[in-house]
Amino acid sequence: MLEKLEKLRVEALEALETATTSQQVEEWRVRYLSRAGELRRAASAISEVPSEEKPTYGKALNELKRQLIELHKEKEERLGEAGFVAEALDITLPGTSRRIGHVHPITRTTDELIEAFARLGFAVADGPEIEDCYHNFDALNIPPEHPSRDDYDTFYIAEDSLLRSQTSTVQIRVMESQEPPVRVIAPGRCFRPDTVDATHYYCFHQIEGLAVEEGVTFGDLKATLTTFARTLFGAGTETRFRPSFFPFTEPSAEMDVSCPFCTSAGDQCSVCKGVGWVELGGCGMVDPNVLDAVGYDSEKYTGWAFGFGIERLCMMKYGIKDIRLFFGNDLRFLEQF
Amino acid sequence: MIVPTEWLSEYVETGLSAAEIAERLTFAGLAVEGMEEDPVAGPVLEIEVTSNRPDCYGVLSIARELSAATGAPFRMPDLELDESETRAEDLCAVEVLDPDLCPRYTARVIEDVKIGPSPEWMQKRLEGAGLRPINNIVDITNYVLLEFCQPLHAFDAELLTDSRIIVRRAVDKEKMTLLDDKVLEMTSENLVIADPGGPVALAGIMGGLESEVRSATKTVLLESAQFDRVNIRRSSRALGASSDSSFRFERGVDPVGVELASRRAAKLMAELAGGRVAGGLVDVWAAEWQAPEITMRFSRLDKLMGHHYDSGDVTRILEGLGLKRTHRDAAKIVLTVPPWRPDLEREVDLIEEVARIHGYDKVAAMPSLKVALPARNELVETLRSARRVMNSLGYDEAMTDSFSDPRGAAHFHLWADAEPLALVNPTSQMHAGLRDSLLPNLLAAKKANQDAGREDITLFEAAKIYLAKGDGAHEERPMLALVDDRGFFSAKGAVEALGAGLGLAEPLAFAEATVPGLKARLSAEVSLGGGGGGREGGGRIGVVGEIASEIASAYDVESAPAVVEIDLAALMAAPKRPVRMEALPRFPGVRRDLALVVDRARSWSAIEEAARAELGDNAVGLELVNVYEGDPIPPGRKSVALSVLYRSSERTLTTAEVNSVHDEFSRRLCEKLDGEMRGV
Repeated sequence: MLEKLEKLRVEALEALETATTSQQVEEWRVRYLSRAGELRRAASAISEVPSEEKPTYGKALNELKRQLIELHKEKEERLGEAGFVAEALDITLPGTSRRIGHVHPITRTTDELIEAFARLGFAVADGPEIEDCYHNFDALNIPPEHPSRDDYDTFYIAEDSLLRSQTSTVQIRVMESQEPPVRVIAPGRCFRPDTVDATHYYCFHQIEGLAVEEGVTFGDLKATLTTFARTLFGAGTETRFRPSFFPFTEPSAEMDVSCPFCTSAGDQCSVCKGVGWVELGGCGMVDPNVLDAVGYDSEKYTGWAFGFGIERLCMMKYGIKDIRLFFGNDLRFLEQF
Repeated sequence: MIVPTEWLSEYVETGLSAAEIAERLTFAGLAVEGMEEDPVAGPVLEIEVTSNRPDCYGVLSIARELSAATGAPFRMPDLELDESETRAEDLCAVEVLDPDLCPRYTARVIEDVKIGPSPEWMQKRLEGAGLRPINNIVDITNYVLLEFCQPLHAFDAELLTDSRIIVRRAVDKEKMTLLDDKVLEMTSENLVIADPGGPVALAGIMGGLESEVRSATKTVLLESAQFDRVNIRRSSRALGASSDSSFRFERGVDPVGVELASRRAAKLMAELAGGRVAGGLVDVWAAEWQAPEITMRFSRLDKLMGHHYDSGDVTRILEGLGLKRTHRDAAKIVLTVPPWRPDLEREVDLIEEVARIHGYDKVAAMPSLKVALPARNELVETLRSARRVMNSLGYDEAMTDSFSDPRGAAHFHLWADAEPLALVNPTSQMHAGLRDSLLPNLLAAKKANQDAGREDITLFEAAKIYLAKGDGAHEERPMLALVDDRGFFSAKGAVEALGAGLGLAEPLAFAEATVPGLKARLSAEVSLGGGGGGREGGGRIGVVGEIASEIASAYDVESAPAVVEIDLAALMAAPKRPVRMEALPRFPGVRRDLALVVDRARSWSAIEEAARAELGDNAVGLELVNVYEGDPIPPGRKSVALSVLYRSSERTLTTAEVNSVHDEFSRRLCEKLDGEMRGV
């Protein structure tokens, strides 16, 4: 058995001598010194050694191991000083590719919105996409003859079954299921039979927000949405509120934010067209008819609500010019997010 | 609504520039969307009118808003009429057979008019507002329409049989030729203005060709009326006829203004066309208008807005908008609403009027929400985790239509027995069916990327599908689907990782199954592991497999990709592994390998099950190392290499005892699987 060990030593020394590159040295190490290497094999062979020879064998084995490790170390050092430089790797080559997938820009924007409102104490609510007329219209104070109920403006599956045309439906669902105080946002898919072009698509996303408590005011609406706008677009963002009309809020407003993309005064900004303000969406105090419809005491509780288009926010934020890209799923687009 | 600022200045003199007027109107609630310099009319404003304020399709209402917003006084045009001895009721008669569709109809007669061009100032204003001047009588009706938001129609009285107006429903299949030469065939759903000889106008929409004012017209019968909004809208849609008149009637007109506009137009016809206005008005009015009264509490105003308003300001604002105060004390103000503002019905409506005219910018942004802890939304969290897992595995998130390619309904009818839900009114650009699987649209997305020259496409979508349940019921189910060019095991691995990433207590179970749309023998059903279903069947929550070649060719996708569709609601509801720290092992583990040659038909799951049953003392882990077929393994057999980890929590195991346990394990497993050991 000891002869075998000697043979191994000669072989190993020879092999190390002929190794000239760091790769060859590494191969040598794997062959002789690794867990599955020759030395380990020789060590396990001790069971075949007659018991009287075992101590000698073990000693010789340890000696061989020590010698090989030392020689290996020396060889490596020598290569590092001189030889290694000659065959150095090009470390400017790209790293091994590990591709991660990309989150859809609408998801990314939605997550940012959820995050911003979570900080203000808003929970996320969801509701069905297939709705009835009661939740999509009646409870939202939209009169029976309102044109938005026409099949030019709403997709129908049956007479009283439709694809929600706004996420405001979730306001009603939430208030039906709980007592005040309510503080939720509801992002989700909506549908309208719009003709498809660069700014319209028949599927789109909205985010609805609702706060109902005792003592909630229009001043509070302004404060909360201003804080939100600053979270999303930066601390210097200004907001303004223009009177408007929605059946489910009164007073109602359109909210504008100071254009986050104008770099300097007079800059012909492609987002705000030089106006300095961009429209974010609608908001207002919840109409008492809506509170009454869900059985809340509209004398005691007040509330505010808002609804923003997520595609619009996303297009603004990332400079996307065509809404159709969102549902096109072109990887050259998706990979940018 | 397009309005020249010069026209506004007739009723309200603000001294402001067009840009300033635009700003004031916008911040009072009449959004000025555009401003242009018209070569004839000077600056014109393009105003977006909200649906609660149809009266603002009239210049007077816009002027009144501007007056309220600026404090400049509002002036009504002069409506004093110089009437002749002749009485209108002696010259014409009006009969309304359907008062529900025509609450008010008035007729006035103007004799001896001379048709000619209208004066230049009127032509300018009409052109500025986007209307083409025609002749003095028609221009006057259009002018007053724009001014009062009250459509008018001028008939040549001599062309009306018996000078009688009958307002009635059309008879089915009744025909009439409109002013624009269009021939209509009507139904009893359409309201017409008729004389005893037949229809002379499509009520509220357009006049008929035969009674039109001509250059020879001497006597005008001036119609000013109020029609039912819904009926006008439906008729206009059904007959494909619309006009500035129908546009306003659909939105509603002021019932009292019907008479004022008639008076205004008659006065202009006297002044500008030399007419003599016959005395009186033939007026058929179903129910006279009563002014509603509304009470507003100052405290409620302040409470809703979070701002204190001065009661003097409040009164001034509301009176400026045309409301009439009937009472005011320290707590409240009571007012009657003018007839052109039917949108004002409740206290909150008045609060909005005060707030918008006073200015939203005057309300300080004052946070009043208390600190609150938002509740977790399980579904939102699950979706987010699932997306994160898929992204980290290299899958890109797609978002596809909720409407499904009909090919898909035939191929991937996986989750419901009933036919897919369908839209009653799809547009021409889209599919009518609601998707009952995410796969068809995802395959279409793969195809589009493949056409763009992409290879190794890995896409996923996490979204709802819509399942018909029969009896009109339906279910929305959140699903995760993926398409994967890297094949079955890549897709299966993704599902396993998803289960692990969502923290399932038991790994998901896979059972070979025939799945519609997927390749036989390369498709499996996924079910919750452990007690959650699995081999007993019925617990299918997902499928994984490579798509069948005929479907790959139907979608024209290369290399039949693997797909997955799995129910996220089921994954959300499945038991989760509690996260509890386990003490780190204090003693080293020893790994022992084993290679077995067994019949190639033996599945890994059967081998694994057998192996787990035979594991000896201190065995803490079992792993598959590889499966090998081919030389030197005889045909019909395969080599399966396993690795077992042995470790004790109490001491370091000796080589001898591990070897003995492992040898015994190997021997028994070999026997059980009818295999033989292969030298390692």
